[in-house]
Amino acid sequence: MFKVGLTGNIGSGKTLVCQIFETLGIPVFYADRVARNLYSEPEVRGQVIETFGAGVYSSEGQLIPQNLARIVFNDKTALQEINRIIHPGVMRKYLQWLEENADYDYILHEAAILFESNLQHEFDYIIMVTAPEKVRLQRVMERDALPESSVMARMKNQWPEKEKVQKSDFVIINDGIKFLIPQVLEIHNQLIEKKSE
Amino acid sequence: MEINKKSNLGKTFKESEIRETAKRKSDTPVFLICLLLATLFWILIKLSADYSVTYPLKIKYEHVPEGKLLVASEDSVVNVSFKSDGYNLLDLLITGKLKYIPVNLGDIKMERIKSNSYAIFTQGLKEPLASRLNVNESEIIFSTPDLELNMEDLASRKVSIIPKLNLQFKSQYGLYAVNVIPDKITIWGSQNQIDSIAELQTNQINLNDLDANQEMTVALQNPLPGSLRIDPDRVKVKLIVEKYTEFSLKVPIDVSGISPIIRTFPATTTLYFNMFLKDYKELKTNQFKVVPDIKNIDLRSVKTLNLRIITHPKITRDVRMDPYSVEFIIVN
Repeated sequence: MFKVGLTGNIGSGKTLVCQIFETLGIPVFYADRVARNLYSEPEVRGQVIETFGAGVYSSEGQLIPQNLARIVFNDKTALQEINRIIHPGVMRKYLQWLEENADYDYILHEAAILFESNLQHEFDYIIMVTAPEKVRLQRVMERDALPESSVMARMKNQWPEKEKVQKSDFVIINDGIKFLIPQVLEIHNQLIEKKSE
Repeated sequence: MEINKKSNLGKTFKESEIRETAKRKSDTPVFLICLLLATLFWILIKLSADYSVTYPLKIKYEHVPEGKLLVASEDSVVNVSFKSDGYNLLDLLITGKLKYIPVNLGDIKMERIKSNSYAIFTQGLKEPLASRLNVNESEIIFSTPDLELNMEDLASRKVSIIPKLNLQFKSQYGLYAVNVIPDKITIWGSQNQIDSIAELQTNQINLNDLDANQEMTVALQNPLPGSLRIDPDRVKVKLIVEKYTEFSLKVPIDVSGISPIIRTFPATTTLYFNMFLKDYKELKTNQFKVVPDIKNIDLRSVKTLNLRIITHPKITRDVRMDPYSVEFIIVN
């Protein structure tokens, strides 16, 4: 089984691409979703409160994502710190999930900060989803109802697309002009072919 | 000597001519006064003479019996001959009494000819006409012995009022509601007439640069003036003007019922629309339905499907979507 990492900067359309792969019968591990769920686990919550203060959680013990984002997207050290807390838990869940899906030709691991977390070595192949910065900015502003400055702050914490593209094996352009499904099918067929070699 | 004689003769002739001209000038006013007096006497003599005249008089029906409606009159003009002296004729012409004959339907004997047709004998009109024209009743002759008219039973019905509006609003303002008071009014007419009227319109209301509520009284348009009665003939129109703004909502693309089964990417689309702020609480996602337009499309030969908004709540307007076309996969 190939382990394929799927990444892309904020607003590139990673989830949409993953949904197409899922329709083709490929299991997808959504690292960001798993990470979000981890925040409610007592051990992680304790570490986060200890590092960033009680203000990132509500009185009911629910994470307030905006409060955490405000801290980590404006401070690189804070971002590294949160990754240090969350990353082991995500990896643990991933390995468990991997065992459950061992029979497939390949699986996908979707992660926004795959390169930033130095996870590229964990995968046989990397798929990078790209879109022009203007398009991504617009998508995130509409999706999350955020002002341009907040989206730009998040974008700055990610590596430039160019650098990520160079380190990737496949590139999917999701600029709203180029058809997405044919690109996914092409990669899917190549991976199946490689697996059968 | 000869020259002197000629000169004297010429002088005498000129003097005589001046005297003649002066005399003619003094005769002109006298002549005019005489002519005027002669004319006056001629007119007085003529006016005191008796004349036999014939006038075409319009028939004006009055006091239509309660519960009846005059639909048509076969005879709308009747020729009336009578004798009168010139003084009376002059008076009749000046006072306009020779324009029409008033016929009091509440007071005159009528004979039913058919279901809705009635006849009035002109004989019965002689007395009131003689009194009106100040002439001898026995000398009035009508061109026809009777007058025919159609009267139907008066029917009534309540109809809705539609305000006729031509409104221009300031940016981001629109018409939230229109209240017409009363919203229904009663019309009276023949059964045929009222059956042909589904609603009544007001006169057109033209307003520009609206950004606040308006209230006005406006007249109703009578589609059958003269025969259709409207009561009241005016209504109050209240225009509720509200501010609207653009909203957006993510709506799932409904692929149920499509064969073969397909899955669209993305599975949702964002709808952008204008609506009044006060309606926002009533808005729900399930009030919208967006489907791929697969009419006359071979799913195996296209890469994208255009989306179509099948339903959206009435409180939304100018609805657009992004994306408006999606890629899809046929799921085996």
